[in-house]
Amino acid sequence: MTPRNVNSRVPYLSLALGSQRVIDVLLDFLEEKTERREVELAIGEIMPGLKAFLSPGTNIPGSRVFATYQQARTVGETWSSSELKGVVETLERLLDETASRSEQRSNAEKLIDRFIDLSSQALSNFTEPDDAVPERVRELCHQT
Amino acid sequence: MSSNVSGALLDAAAVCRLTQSISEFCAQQLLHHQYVGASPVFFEHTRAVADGVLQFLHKLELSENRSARRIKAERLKLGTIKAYWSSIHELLKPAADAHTLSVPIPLVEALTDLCADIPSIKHAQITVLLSEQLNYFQSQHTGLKEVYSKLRTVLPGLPSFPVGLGFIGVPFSQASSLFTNLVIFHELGHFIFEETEKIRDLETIVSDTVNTIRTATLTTADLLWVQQTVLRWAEEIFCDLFAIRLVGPAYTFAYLELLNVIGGTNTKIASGFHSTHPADACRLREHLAKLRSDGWSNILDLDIEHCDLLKTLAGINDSEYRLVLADASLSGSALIQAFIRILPEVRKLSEECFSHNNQAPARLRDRIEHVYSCLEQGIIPSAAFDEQQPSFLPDMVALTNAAFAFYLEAMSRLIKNIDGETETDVFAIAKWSRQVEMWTLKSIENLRLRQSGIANGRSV
Repeated sequence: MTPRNVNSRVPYLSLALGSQRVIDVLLDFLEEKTERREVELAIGEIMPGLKAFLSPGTNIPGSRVFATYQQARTVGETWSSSELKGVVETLERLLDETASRSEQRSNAEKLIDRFIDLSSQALSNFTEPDDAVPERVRELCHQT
Repeated sequence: MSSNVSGALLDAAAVCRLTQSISEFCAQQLLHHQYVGASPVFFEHTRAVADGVLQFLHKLELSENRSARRIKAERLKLGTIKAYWSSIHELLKPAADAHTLSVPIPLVEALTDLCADIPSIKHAQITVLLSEQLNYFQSQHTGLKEVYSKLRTVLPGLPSFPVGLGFIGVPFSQASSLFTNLVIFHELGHFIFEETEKIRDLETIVSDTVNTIRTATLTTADLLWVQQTVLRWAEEIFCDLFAIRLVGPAYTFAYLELLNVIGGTNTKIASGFHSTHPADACRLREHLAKLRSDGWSNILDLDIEHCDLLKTLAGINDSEYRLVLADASLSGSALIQAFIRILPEVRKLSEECFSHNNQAPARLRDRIEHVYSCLEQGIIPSAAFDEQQPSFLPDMVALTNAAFAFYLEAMSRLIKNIDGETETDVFAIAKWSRQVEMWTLKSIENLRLRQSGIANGRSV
C-alpha cells in the first residue's frame, strides 16, 4: 500500500467513525446514559447526506459524513434503496417525541444494527478498497 | 465466558499491544535521531494518541453483563482503532527514516521559511517522509485531521491535532539531491490547496461544470467520483502553478528530470490523463505559459534540452489528450473537455492565493553568469559574493535556478577545469554534478544564515 492509497482510503475510515458515533449515541440512549438532545445532534449531522441519496444524482448539501465518492459508494453497497429509505424513516421516527418509549427503543435497536453494517462495510472497504472506475462513469468517459 | 466476549477481549489485547509498540517506536526515534522540520511534533502527538487509546482500553468493559450489541459495537471500535493505526503506520516509518543524516536540511529549512512568509500556511509544520516510491507525494493532512477529529468523538480524551501538521514524501534515492527535490514545492502547493478557503469556490465551479456533462443514469456516488477526479486534476495544476511562482523554471526542470527517470517523456505517454493526474503535456503547457508570464523567458531560451522537451510536450494539442482507463484509452473524452473549461479558473485561483512580487527573474538575469563562473571554478557561489560584492548576493530562487541551469547546460565548463577528468566521462559528470548540488546547498544555507543574521541585526 502506498501513502497515496492511504489518502484515498481515509474517507472509508472517516465514515466508519461517523457511523460509530451514531451507534455510541444510540446505545447510550438505550442504556439511558445520554440526553435526547445528543441523539438529535448525532442524527442531525447525518440526515442531510442520507436524504441526498434518496434523490440520485443530486449534490450533497454540505454533509460532513457522506461527502466523498468512497463514502457514497459504501452506503450504496451496504443498503439497497428501500433499506436506505427505511433508515431515513426510522431516524425520523426516533426524533418523534410523541412515540412511546418502547417504540423508540425498538427503532434505536434497528438503527444500531443498520449502522453496525455500514461501519463494518466502511472498514472492509478501507482494508480492500476497489479503485476501479464506476461502470456508469465509464459510459460518461466514452462520451465526446 | 461466551466466544463473543472472549473474542472481544483478544481484539482489545491486540490493539493494546499494537498501541504500545507504536508508542515505543516513537519514543525510540526521539531518543536516537535528530530531525529537521516537524517530525518530533508528529512523534510526540502519536505518543499522546497512544496514551489516550491505552486509557480507553483501561476503561473498556467487556463482560457478559453487557449487551451483545454493545460488545459488537466495541469490537467495531477496536477495528477502527486498528485501521487508524494502520494509516499512521504508513507515515511513521518514512518519517523515522527522514532524520538529519538523510535529508537535504538547507532545502527543508528554506521550505519552512517560505511557509512562514505565506499567510495561509504560516503555521505549517512540515514532516518529511522518506518514501520507497520513486515519486513525490503529499499526504493529505485534512483527511487525516478529519478522521482524527471523528476518532476523538468516539474516544474522548485524545489530544487535539497539532496545528498545521502536514507530510511531504521524498524518494529515498533522491534524498541527498537538491535539484529533483525541488518537486517538493509542488507538494507544498497541495498543503495550501487544502488550507485555503478559496478552494470552496473552485469546488463549486467544478460541480457546476460536471453538471453540464452528467447523464441521467449517474448516481450520487458516480457524480462524486467525476467531481473528485476533475477537482484532483485542477489541484495538480494549481500546485504546479504555485511551485513555479515560488521557484521558477527550476521546478519545471525538476519535474522533467523526474519525468525522464520514470520514462514519461514520450509524447503518447505524456498525453494521457489518469484518474489521479492530468496529462503531463497539459501540465507542461501550463508551466510554459506561467514561466513566460512570470518573466522567465530568458532562461527558456538557453541551450538546454529540457527547454526543448518542455516546448515539445507543451505544444501537444488538446485533441491529442487521452483518458487512460485500466482497459481503454479514450480521445476527446467529455471529462477532459470539462476540465479544460475550468483551467482559467484554476489559473485565477493560483494568482489570488499567491500574488507576491517575484524579483527572482530580474535577479537571475543579472547574476547567472556570476554563478556560472563560480561553479565552473569550483567556488561556492555565496562565498564569492560575500567577499566581493555582498550587495550582489542572489536570493535562494535566483541562485537555485542559475545552478540548475549550469548543471543542465554547462557541466563541461567545470569538468574541463579539473585535472584528470574528461567532459565525456559519465562517472565524472555524475560525480561533479553531485558536487554542484552540494555547493548550491551550502550557498542556500549561507544565504539563510545571512538573512537570519540581518533580521537579528547582526552582520554575518
